[in-house]
Amino acid sequence: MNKDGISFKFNKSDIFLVTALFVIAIALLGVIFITNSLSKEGTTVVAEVNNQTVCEFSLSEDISYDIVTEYGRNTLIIKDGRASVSFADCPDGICAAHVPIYKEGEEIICIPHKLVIRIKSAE
Amino acid sequence: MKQEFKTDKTKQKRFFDSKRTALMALFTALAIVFSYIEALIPFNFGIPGIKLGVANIGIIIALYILGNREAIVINIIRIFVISLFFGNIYTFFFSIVGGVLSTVAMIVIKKFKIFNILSVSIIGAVMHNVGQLIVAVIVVRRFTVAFYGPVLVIAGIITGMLIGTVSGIIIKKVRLEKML
Repeated sequence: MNKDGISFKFNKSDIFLVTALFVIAIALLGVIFITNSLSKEGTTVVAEVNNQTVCEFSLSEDISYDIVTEYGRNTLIIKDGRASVSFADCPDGICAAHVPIYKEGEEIICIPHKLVIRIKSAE
Repeated sequence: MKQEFKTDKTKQKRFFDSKRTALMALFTALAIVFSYIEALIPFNFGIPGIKLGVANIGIIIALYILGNREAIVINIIRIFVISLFFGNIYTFFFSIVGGVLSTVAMIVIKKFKIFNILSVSIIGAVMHNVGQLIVAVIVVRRFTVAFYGPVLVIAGIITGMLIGTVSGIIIKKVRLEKML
């Protein structure tokens, strides 16, 4: 290592740091995937804005519903027992790109609109 | 006593050095332009919330050539200007928490002197993502947002490595410290 501390050579400490970060991330990812695959299918879908429920639908019926709030508009659709967002007027549209959800506890979150779409069981 | 006076004088000299001030302004402009270019051409990896973080090139170079205080000041000015032009109050909070956390983490890691520039950059990228995730958890008031963390950490390792390599090459080739 030269006096400026600018080197591309990986020392023991660098390898330890990167490996530790990587292992922690992979382990957490594994835990999340396992808990998700173990959870059972839900029955209802709940939309919450600012932690307050705005609407609730059963997953058994096919619907298309516009969630309009002061923050913006998201279109919630339920098809074949799975809920997804088909349209959002936020610039990134991350929620619209999300895969359809159907398992208990799964969520689609739109941060700019403070919207959480969550699957839950009836009981 | 004499020693104290001397350090005080060097500190003053450092603070009022016009070359240093000019270089700081240059790096601030560079970081703002990098941010702007990234906003124009988003380097999308197909995963939401992930970007290259080109602006961090300017911050890392400032950190190595100018110093810790200068790097953090440059980053705060960059975030303020970019948010003023292209963002709103929400994007400002996301950026400022991520930016400050990332710069502080890079300063701490660099102080250890056992990590290379790639590790400094990786920690910067990872902590930037962690900071933004913390703001996201606060905004939606749901901890489940944090489940996205592992993905962002892995993305941070990759983008941090790329940005660190580019910054290191620039510092080595351009020899900006000779201007001081």
